[in-house]
Amino acid sequence: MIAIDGSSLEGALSRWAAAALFAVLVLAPPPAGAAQERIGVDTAVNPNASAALPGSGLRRMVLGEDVVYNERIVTTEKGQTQVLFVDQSAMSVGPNSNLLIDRFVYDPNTKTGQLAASLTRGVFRFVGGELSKHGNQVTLKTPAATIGIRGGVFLARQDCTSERGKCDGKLSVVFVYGIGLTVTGDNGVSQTITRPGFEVVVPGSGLSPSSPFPASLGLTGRLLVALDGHPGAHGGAQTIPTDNDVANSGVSGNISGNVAASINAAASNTPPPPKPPNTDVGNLQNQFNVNTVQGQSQTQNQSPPPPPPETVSGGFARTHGNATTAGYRQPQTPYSGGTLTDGVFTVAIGSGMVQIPLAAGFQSFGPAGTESPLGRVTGTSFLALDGSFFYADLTPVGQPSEREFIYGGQPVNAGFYAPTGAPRFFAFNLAPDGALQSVIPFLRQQTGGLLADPVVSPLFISAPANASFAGPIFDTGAPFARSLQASLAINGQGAGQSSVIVLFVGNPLATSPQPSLQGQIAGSFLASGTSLPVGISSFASTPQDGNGVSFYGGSALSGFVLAGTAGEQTAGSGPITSYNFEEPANAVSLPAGVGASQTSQTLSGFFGGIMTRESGSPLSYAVTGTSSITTDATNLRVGATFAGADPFTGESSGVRSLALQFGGLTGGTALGQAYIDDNLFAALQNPSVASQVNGNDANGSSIWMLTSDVVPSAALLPNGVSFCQCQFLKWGYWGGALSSPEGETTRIDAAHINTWVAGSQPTSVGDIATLQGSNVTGTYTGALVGTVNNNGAQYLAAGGLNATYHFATQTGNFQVVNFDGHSFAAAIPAGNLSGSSYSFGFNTGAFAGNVNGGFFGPLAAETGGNFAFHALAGSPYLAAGIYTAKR
Amino acid sequence: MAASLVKTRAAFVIAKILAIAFVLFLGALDARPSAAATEAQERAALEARQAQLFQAMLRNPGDLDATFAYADVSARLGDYEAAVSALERMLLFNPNLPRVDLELGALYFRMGSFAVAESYFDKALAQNPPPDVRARIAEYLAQIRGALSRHHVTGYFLFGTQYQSDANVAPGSATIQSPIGTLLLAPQFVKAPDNNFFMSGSVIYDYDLETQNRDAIEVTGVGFMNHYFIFDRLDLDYGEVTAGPRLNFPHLPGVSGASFKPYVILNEVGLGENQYFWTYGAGLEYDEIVWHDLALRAVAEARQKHFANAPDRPLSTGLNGHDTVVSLTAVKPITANSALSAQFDFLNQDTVLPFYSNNTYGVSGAYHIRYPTPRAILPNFWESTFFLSRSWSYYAAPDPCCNTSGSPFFFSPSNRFDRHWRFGLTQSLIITPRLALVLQVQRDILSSNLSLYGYTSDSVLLGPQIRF
Repeated sequence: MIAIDGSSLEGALSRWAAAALFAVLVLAPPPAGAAQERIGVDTAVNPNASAALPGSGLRRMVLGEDVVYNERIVTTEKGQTQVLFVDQSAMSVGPNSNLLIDRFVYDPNTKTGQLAASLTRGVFRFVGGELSKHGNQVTLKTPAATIGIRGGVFLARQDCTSERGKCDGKLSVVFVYGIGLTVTGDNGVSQTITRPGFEVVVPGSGLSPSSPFPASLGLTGRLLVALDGHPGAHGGAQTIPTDNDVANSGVSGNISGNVAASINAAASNTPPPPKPPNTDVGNLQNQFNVNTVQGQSQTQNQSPPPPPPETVSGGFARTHGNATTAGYRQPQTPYSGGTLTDGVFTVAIGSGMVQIPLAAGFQSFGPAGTESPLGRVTGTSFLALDGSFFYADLTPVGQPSEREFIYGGQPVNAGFYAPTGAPRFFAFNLAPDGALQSVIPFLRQQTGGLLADPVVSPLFISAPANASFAGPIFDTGAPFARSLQASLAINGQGAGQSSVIVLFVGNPLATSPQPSLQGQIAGSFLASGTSLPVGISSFASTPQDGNGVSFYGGSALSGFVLAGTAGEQTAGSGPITSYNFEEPANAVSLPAGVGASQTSQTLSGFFGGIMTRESGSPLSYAVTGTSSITTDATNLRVGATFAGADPFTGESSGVRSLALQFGGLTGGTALGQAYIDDNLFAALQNPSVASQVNGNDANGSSIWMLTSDVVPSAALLPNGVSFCQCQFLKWGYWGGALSSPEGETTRIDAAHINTWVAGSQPTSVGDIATLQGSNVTGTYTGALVGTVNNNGAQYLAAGGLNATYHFATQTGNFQVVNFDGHSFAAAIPAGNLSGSSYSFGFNTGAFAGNVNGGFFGPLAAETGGNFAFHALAGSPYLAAGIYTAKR
Repeated sequence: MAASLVKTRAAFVIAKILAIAFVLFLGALDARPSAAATEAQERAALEARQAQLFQAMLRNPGDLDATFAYADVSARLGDYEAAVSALERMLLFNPNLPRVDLELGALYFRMGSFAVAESYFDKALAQNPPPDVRARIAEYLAQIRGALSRHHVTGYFLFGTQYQSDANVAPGSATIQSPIGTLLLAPQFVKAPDNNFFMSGSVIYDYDLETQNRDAIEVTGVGFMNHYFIFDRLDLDYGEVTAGPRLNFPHLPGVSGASFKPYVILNEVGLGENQYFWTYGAGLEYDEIVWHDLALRAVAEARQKHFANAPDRPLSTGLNGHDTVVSLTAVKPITANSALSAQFDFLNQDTVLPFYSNNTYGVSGAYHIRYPTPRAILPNFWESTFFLSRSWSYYAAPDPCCNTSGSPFFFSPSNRFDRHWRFGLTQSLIITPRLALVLQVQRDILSSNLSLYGYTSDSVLLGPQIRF
């Protein structure tokens, strides 16, 4: 059976109406007159098409004759006919067909009803009218299956199988147009075709319909030929249409002639083609992250550096009063076009000029023949031997309180910055700032710049073997050169001691148009034991001159000037005093041993010292803990973590845990650290991992650490005591301020100068066992260095250490000699050893405290650790620091 | 802060002007109700005429004039089945009517039944029809060959020139607070205008698997190239290919047009004269239509991105990582020629350098309308699309680019947080069905807590678009 349904989108109301009407027609027998009611018309009849009414014999069909209920249409080999129903449906019947119109009900007002027919054999085409378009049931039953269609057109052919003697052969159904067509086999299995041009075949009665598949063009063509007339037949028409009639009818104007409308209609009757992806031209830069300066490019020069100019370029600066308090006014004045002829340097500066004599090396000169914006000058100058870099500090004769500063030279060749395949090390002398007139670089006289006997290190630069000298301004983790310089001065003992430490860590960076040195400065000054420490912090960089040059030299790096605006702040929370600095640096010979050893390793050890809570009521407290320092010799990096706590007064100081994070080993942290070699390294606060106080991030940290080898000083040592010349232990200084949240407020904890120790080879468990089995008693000699708070006065102190340790019993003696005038011996109780580390408390009657240390090197060759002790009676006395000693 | 307020106010002023223009524009389009009324009257008249002719055919099926007129009127009404039944009767009267075969072919073509249409056209050609019939059949057969082919290619090319007031998407200020202090960006990294020539193309190839559900293998390709007059380091080359099966589910209850498409992705992007990155990944797309005409699309994609550094881009590999994208789109036709679309996007970029990692949330809307060319200046139609989008990007780690401590003495970086406005108008002047002139004006406003990344850029894009 074949059925054609109307649109499934029709409403339930029309379906209900149709169902009600069917009920009336099916359940109630039609009136006698109704059986002969016209349901359609024979609109074309080719010969040998016959029809039979119920109970009547076959009669020859005639064009225009009515079609009625239960009429059977039979065609022979040449027979063809078309029936047009009153709902505008049309059935075409091909040759050798037998069709019975079982049922036709149609209400023209509601356009509801039913059409059912049975095709016993033959070829059949159905073209839908109002019934199928409005969701009504149109079915065609065949011996093999029942077909239902919802709106549209289909073709069907029911074959006869002569062997069986009846027409129950293969049924082929081609869906031509509409919403869908369902073929249901006699066994109840259904298949629905929804794609025009697809076919379902039912092999025979009782068999299942096939899945829909594309109908062959051959089958479709054969069915159409069978249905669309044949030569010599005229369908019963009295007037035979000709092609001219068709042409003259004008029908083509609205159908085939309007190709655009045909294309549009076809598009609306087929699923829309998939759309190509949209290319949002206006948003591609965002889409691809091109919208960052980093993403786009690095601020480095893309073109080869210009050839060295014939003339000299550089910078000029002058004070505008308050030379020693504020330094040279920033920014300086860049210039180009200077000339050095016959030992006289001349350049125009603004509307004035500078003219001074220059000779190789350091020279002083008088006012004769000189000129400057402030008139004639006296001064001192430095000129590199090859003439590639110079600087001069000038004092105007007419204004002796003012200062002028000029420097310049030739740019470093581009080839210098390329990797050489071997590590390179450089050292530079930082000369005093001519305006600040301090001995110690970067400092004002008011904050320790004139402290006596300072240790001022060279400015070191370590360049990697296989990477560019200058790195990107945004750290990628790739190696590039590091720079380190530090100064330390400790004057006096006890409460009258004054001390200052300042360090610079930086990197040559690929700034545009020429590389430059950029870095940070951190430091601390304590005028006396009873003063509050002054923190010093700044960025520093080599300014670009009139030709964009920062580094001078030619094939080597001869010199540069580090400039910046520094800030001083008392006790971490006071007002900030700003001043400027201009520090000329000229190349010097590399000190012996620098760069001799670069090792990627992790050092483990201890730290100790005294910190002061500076917010609220100042309160000093001891801190001790462990240190872990990792160096990366390939990428010239260092990262360190110090973790500890207040060992004595955690409740009152409020410091139950402390974690200090320095430097870093991965991207984004390189700009705050400098690794030169195994002895020379320093780091500032890790910019990626915050330090913590009591587990709270101290985001305002300005902490620092460096090795003591950068600023070797024996100023603290009492007579007869020397620092351990240890092979496996390193020690150094740390300090700085931490700003961390505490409830609703912020607490600031600052350290002036404290100490750490760490070793590369903790003694193995096997070696410890050997020492125990051999009943060995180790005797260690070395020194302690630490920070003291003596009745409110804070200072650094050092003393001797003589210690014995009997490994078998884990007992011994820890004897402190002349540490801040105190000597005492602490017995080491048994049971203190864990692995290669030990920890014990002591009480000498005068002092009580803790020692945490470890053995390092083969057979415990060295020992180091932290200590902290406090007085048990009398004025408050607190000391904490580190010690190193060797057997 | 003040600059940001000024930017925001400017954006709202421009948005307001665009909104007013849009309302006026819609009002002008709506001021044409008489055309629809006339059309309804004409249709009613045609339906009455069709009924009249049908009765005439019932009375005298051999009335050729009535039959032709009935076919004609039915076709004009879009009642192609009625026209077909009338003309097929003509072939029973005379099977040798190539012009009737032509019309039947055209009617079946309109119904989307291309195989039957082709049969009629072939039958007509076999009868040695007049040249005009032959020519017209050739036109239809060309269309049918494309429709019946298992291979379909559609797409477009767009090329032209674009002006951007901030071509290098750089901040307006040359000063940033970098880890090394206040840094003066080199001039090439400060906002600057530029023009570029560009070519873009998009194509989709689908291979019909000849299933009843029209399942297909879809391969898409997108390409883009541009060349800046000044910032040639920003020259972008981009090509992306996706491939996967589209599986249709036409019979899901309550929805229509449901389809599901898993696909793989491969792309290559160049920046300047060097490779920028390449990507592989996979995606899932689901489409459906609910509530009669509300088209919904959900897309989820995961991509692994591999960047390459270049001498001028030493940080690009920091963007290595993977992207996860979820996109939800809704398109609602408002009239036969206009539609409103809304989209939500979520993008997670997980990168090697943590300060590049971010979650981005975006919403966007667009109104698309097609209308006859005003005053018949040009033939065919114009299309206008008004678009507006807003996105928020939350970065995962402090960005070491910039010091946000407020003090020159402490370096304290912050996580980047971007907010992005984008709005504008795309105007297409349809010159022929395959050729259009496209004009796009847009403004981008990116506000960031890190001044390095903020920018405002106006752009104008003009060029012909060739559709195929």
